[in-house]
Amino acid sequence: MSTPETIDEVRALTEADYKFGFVTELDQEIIPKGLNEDVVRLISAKKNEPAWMLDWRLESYAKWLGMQGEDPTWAKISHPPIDFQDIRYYAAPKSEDDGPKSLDEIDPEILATYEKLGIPLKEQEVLSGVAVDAVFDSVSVATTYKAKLAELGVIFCPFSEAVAEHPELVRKYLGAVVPQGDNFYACLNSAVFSDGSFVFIPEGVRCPMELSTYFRINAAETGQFERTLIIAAPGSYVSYLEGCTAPMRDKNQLHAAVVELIALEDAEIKYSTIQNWYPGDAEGVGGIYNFVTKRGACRGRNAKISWTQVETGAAITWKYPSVLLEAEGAVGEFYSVAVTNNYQQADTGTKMIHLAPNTTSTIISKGISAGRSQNTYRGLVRINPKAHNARNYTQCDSLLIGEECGGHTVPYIQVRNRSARVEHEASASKISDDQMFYCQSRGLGAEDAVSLIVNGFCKEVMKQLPMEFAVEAQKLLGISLEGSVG
Amino acid sequence: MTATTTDYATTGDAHLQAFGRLAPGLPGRGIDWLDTLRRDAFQRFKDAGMPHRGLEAWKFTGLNVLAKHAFSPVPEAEAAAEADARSDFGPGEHAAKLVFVDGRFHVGLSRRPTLAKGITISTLAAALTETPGLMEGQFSAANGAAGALWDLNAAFMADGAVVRLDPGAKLDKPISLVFLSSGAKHGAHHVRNLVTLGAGAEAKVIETYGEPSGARAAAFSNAVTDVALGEGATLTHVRVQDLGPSAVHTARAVVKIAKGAHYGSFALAIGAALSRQETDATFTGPDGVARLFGAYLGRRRQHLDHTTRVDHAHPRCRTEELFKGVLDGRAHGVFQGLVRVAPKAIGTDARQKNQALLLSDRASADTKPELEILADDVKCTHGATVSDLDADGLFYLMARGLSEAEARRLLIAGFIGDVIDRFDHGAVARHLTACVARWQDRDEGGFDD
Amino acid sequence: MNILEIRNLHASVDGIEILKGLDLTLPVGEVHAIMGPNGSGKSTLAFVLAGRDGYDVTEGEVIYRGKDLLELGIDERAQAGVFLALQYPVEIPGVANSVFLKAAVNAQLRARGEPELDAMDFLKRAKGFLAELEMDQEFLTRPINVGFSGGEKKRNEIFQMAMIEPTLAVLDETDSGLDIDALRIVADGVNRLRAADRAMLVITHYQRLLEHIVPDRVHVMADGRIVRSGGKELALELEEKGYAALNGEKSAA
Repeated sequence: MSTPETIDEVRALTEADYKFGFVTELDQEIIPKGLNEDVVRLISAKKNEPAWMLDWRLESYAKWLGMQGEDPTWAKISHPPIDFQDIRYYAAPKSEDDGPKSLDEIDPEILATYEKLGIPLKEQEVLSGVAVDAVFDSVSVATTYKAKLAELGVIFCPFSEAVAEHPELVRKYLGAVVPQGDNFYACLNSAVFSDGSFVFIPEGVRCPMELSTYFRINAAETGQFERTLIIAAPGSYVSYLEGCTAPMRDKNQLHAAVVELIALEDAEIKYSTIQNWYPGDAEGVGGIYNFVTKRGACRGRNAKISWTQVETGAAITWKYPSVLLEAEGAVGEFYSVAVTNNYQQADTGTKMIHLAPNTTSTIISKGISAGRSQNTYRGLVRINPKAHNARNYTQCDSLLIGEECGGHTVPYIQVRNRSARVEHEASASKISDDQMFYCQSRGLGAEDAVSLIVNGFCKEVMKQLPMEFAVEAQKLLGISLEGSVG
Repeated sequence: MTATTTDYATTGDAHLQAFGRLAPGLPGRGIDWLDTLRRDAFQRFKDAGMPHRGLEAWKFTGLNVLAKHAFSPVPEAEAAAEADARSDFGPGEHAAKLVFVDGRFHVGLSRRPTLAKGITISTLAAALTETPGLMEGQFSAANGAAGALWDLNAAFMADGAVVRLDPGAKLDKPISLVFLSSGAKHGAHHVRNLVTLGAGAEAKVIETYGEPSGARAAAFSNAVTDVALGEGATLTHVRVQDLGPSAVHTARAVVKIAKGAHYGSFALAIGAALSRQETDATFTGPDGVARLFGAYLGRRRQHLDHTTRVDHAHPRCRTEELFKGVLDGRAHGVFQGLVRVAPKAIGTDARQKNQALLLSDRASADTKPELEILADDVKCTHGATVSDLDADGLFYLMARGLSEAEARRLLIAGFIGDVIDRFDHGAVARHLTACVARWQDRDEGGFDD
Repeated sequence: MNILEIRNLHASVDGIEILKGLDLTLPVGEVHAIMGPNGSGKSTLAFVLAGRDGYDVTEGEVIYRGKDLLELGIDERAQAGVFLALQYPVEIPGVANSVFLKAAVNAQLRARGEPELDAMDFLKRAKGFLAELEMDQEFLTRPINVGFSGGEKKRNEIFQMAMIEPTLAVLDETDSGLDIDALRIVADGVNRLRAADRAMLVITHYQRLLEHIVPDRVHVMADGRIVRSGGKELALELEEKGYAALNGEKSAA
């Protein structure tokens, strides 16, 4: 059957509130809390970085110091002020120093962690053809499938490795889409980023497998600041997946990542995220602050960048994966599902900036709020004077479950060219009593009925996900909404 | 007419300087609550200053023009007593007509026949003198820096119309309120209107902001109309902004809609260099209806802004919003619409739509239709489109023999006619249609900057 | 043995009493028709049996296979074998018919302690029924009732009934809005499901459906009660005389 399972999968998983909430006992190397120039130098030194990289970090740090008090306040989120001196900026599993050469060298306990996460690396390597770069706290621990990718000239490696081995590419593109001083959190990331993924797809190469990274925060009171850079050379294609989890902790943890995508002429990048950071408990205690800057640039004609995100975790999500449509015929897409329950807050959306003729963008956003959560879509569509015949279609729908949650839609539409055609549609409603009755009168329990209807509501977005991720995402939707119906 | 003094760098400064001098001469001086209200509003304005683009509510509309020239409040003595006023502003057919020149009531141009019992039409200055007790608590007040112009109005309001219908009173013909800016260069006037309908009352009020032909007044008019609708009352409220090409106009309707009341509003902007018409409606009981319609037609460098906010604080209220814009030349159109649904406002039904046509390469449009929803049993939608005139329609009409100019004119009239048609089918619709036709007839050269 | 026994059932909607002491007995293996004018309470009876919120039973009892039906939740009734074909089937965007139906069938199998259908078995069964109901295969992938014509929606209800194999099927005006061909297809579908261990309650306004689904017994409902019961010839009599003739007439069900 072509349609993926839903209820059965959800049912199989209903035993755990947050299934990824375990802590791995590892011998970790961590540095003291707090941030100053020495910490930036220390991070750089730990990674044996060349001088240019350290300089870039220090420059960013100086900029960040100048941005104090400029942390964004316009989003519909609230949290106590973050004490940036109370965060640890680096943690690595100790065994990392030796540098694992293959999966066999990796700390068995880390491997066991991935087993629990349902990502048996070896099995994936063999069975599913997904090449995995797993970032554990701050350091990439394993990249599978490297050899096969190398044959095609595809570079898929930890960011730190790219700094050492492909400095010309990193220097050329780092900060080329998200400049150091772009915003408060991106600037902080530029100073202290620890690791992340680097991808380069050579001209004309269609990457034969999904590239995948799992991010996990393990150490307590540690921020995670990964940095991802993907470059698709002319005529190339890549589909990249990222998954995120973190253990349960009663203190909030900061995750401030930066992702930069560059698609050159006729290239296509498809970037999918399943974000399941620890959302905090039912009372709103703990959880990850997910303050992420993601932006792609279509830098060549007919380039295409497509973001798909399923956001179910994190106490607070603040992220707007965007596309700069810089060249003629470029295509930008944003497909998003954001689920909030209990006391979660999400302020997420996209920016589609049309700078060239015949560019098109599509935005499909589905927000589901339950419990006492607040869920905001915030998006910008801008058609600049030179973007003749630009097209945008936006649809954002909110589904509200329960009378104490909030669902908000804040679209900004700015059109500076007459030949543009911009359409925006939005709706907000609850799951109708009729729909619930219909499902229940066919024998489904209330939670299964909600899960089914919500999955239907999100269908247009879910079908954008690669199959193996779609199943996981569907389960997550069901789990995230548990307890939301009486 | 001599220009008012322009010693002050900005409009804000000019007002800060003028308050002490003008306050003693403003109507209602000596009424404690009013003195306090003015003083508090002035203080808030002093603290906040003029609205600026840094404020979310003013993101798309900058008031640089108020910083470039010092628009100063026009003292009563300088208000044009004998305005060379065109008398054809406002609907031809009306129950009564009140004309204000430079913010002051003009007896000569007004027409106030005796109306049926239970209907009072007066002026703010007169009402504050004659029935101050009835006026207490009728004035809305701003909160927050985004409402600084509202505060400015409260501090300086000098006159305006007072329309009061007792419960059950009904008036079929519209009450025409005309506000003219005379030739006073860089004059500022702040009218405050009060429209109060008792339970079950019905009325139509048409406000027209214009200036005598040839006046070319670079004036700043900053109006506030406070509307209070009793249970089951029905008000049709039209605001036509047809000012000259140098005028700056900001206006706000603050509307309270009681249980089962029906507020229908049409805001039309076809004039001024810069105009911002705000509507701020709150349901104060269940089962109310707000129908907010509007159109903006601009060319040259006109900047036309419609900003609405509807607060659904009670169950089963309905909002229907439709604003359409036609932007030619280098005109810039703005629509901002916020629908807020408070917790427990179940059964809310809110639909909001904005459509803008860009007719030239340098015209631009910003739109921000916003939903803020804190209740689950609601039905809310919004939509927005921005595009050029429909090429297929143009082709079709031209294929039937119309010239391109005729075809365009027809399509534009139809585009805006659709909003008018949804709003009203009677005399009000005819009046609005005539206003739109006037904009279309206006030669571009006649409306230069 | 009786599948359904309704005794002195009173039910209200929004505080207004609609069912006013309804009695009905439905033996196993039989098909009964309930006819009556608009507003007599037919659909209310269907929703009360399915357990819909807002339909408050104020008096009386409903015994289903010897147990109190009214104690069960909506899904529990469905899992116990009660199926309601709705007069106005609900649209659920984005959810494929197949996903929905498989979830529903398996929820019921699970509740009865029977093994669940895997995708292959499910599809085989589904395709068989689809063919019988002259429905296109793409029915399975289309979202539930979205964009379906009136006739397609009704056929979808019968298709679901076939898949779910209920013990008690209540068909609420399944004939309304159907042309004669669709009516025949739907009726054939229903007739195929007649079985010795199953009972059906066919609610209809018109006699024409009963030409195709011949009932064992016909009940006439008026003002919240069964006012007459008889054999299938009663339907013809009603067709001839109209419901108006029943006014004032009362007889034991």
